[in-house]
Amino acid sequence: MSRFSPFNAVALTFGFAFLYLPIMLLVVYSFNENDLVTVWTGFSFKWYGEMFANRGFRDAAWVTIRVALISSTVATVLGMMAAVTLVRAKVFFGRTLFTGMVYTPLVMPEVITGISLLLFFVNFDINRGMETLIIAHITFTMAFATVVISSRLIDFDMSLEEAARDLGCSRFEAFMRVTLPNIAPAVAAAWFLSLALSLDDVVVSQFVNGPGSTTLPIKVLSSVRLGVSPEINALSATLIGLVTSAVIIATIIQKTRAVRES
Amino acid sequence: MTQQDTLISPAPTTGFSPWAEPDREPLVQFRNVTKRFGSFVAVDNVSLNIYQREFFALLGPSGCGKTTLMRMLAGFETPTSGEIIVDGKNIVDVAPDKRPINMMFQSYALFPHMSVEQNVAFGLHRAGGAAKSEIADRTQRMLKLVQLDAFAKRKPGQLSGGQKQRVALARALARSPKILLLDEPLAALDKKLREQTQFELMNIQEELGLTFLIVTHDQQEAMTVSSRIGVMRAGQLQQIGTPGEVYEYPQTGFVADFIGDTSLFDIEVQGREGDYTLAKWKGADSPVYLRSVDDSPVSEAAKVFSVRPEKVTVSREKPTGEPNVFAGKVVDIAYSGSQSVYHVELAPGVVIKALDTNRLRLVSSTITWNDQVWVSWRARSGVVLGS
Repeated sequence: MSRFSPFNAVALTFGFAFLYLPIMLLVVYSFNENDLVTVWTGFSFKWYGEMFANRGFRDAAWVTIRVALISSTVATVLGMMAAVTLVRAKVFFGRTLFTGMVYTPLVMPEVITGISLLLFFVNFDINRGMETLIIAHITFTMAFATVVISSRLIDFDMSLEEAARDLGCSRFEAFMRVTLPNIAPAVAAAWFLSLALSLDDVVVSQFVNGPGSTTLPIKVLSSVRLGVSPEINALSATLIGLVTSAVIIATIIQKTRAVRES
Repeated sequence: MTQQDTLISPAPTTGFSPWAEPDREPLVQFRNVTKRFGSFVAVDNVSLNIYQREFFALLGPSGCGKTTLMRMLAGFETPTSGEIIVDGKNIVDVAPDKRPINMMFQSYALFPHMSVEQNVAFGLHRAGGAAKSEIADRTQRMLKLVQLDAFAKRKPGQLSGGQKQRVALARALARSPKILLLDEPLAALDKKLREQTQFELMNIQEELGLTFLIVTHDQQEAMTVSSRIGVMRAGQLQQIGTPGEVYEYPQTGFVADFIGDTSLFDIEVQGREGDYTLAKWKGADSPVYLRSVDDSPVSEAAKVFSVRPEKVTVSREKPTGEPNVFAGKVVDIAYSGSQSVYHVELAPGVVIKALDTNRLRLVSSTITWNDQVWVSWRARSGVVLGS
């Protein structure tokens, strides 16, 4: 470890300033009383009140949460199944192709994913709404879930599952009782990643959402088009608060578990 | 020094030897079992019977197919052709969880998220309908058997290698399998612990009256623990026999060389002289004297002669009374404390190994490098092989 030096201090300060100054500015201005975002007149919770009273925001938030919870759960289950097959299966025809195809959405421009999904739904005459939003989110988050879970499965000692089989478990039981508990951290990580991706997706959602299924990020973006209102500041600050507390809680849980294990 | 008498007759059939009883039904029968992985033949037309209460060892170098053979019995591999009969039933299509067989894995495969106790009880919950108290009872008994009752609440990560090995053993034994498979069970232990554990394994096997099948590449381990050994090479069973049989009467050069130490010489059978068969070899101008156990002539098909180092005596004075006495020069001495193996060059490029127990201290040893010495052995001490 390098010791503390003036250079380190400067680098640290600038680095964090670069990352967090804009965010801090936003949080500070969310408590601004003035109607104009950039003119500070006084401290107030006014915009928070406005935000919570805004039905549009509330509906959008509810849509976002429901879509994220459902799509990330389904994507994790599908991703786990894909990972198990791709990692475990003996070489079958087209295995490399399948592996490649699972990873492609990771590098595919989102616009293209969005357009192709839109075309698909239009073609099959599927009305756009919550359902299409969920399907679309599953499609692109599943690839991430697969990657996260397969990287853990590759290291997993297969003889553990064989031992479970040997001790009287069916294939499914062996997976549920031995494999799953051991890859659980990766599965949880995959779920959280899918959740996060779904929560803040704009591009794909914009193509596939319909009336009544506007997600929060889209709502924010369209509001901003008419000029940044202090209400958006308050909303953003609230979201930042939520994310920060989630991270802090996760860290505390992890720390206490590590202490308990040792 | 006196030469030990090696005029033994083939395996005295005293005590436990069900394989010698023609009416005995084997517990496990491999019938012409072949396993291919792609174009690679891992197990090549193996037939083998294993009897109840046997401690059978599959011995061979890595890649010889011994583990594949065992995994087919466990149900993790399916034979390409052939049958595996357990208790009179072909089990080739039976899933691993439905077989009356348990396996102890080389890596131990302990479930890291469960305590020692939970690991041992794992198979009992599956056994179907067993009462909680019954399971707890059985788990306790198993942990006592392997002397780990004090560690019941620990996680596998907090155990030493030897303790893990014992948990794996207890877990595999908990379901009282008809057959216990042990895949290189002691490979990860150090030498002292390994030897001690070998005896523990033998005791447990005897105490529970179970049938054990062990896979190992360690010939000493196979000799110590097993009732019979099957020596494998390149997917084929080269020889099946008691440790004494495979050691004293190897049927191929590979078995002679793989089990224990030996010196191998090419020979050409020439004729008879009394009870002896004479054979030409490269060790000396004079022939080597061979004598079979029943004094019958040695077949002309004999092409290789094998003699174990401990059957060969090395001395400064020319011994009398033995037909096989040859002169040579000591080119190497492998000193291992309790004994020394002398490498004696009889003719250019022809070296015989002679073992001498170091009853006296090394300093008083009279034979050293470059000494001219005599080597001798009894005519019945050697073994002839077809190839």
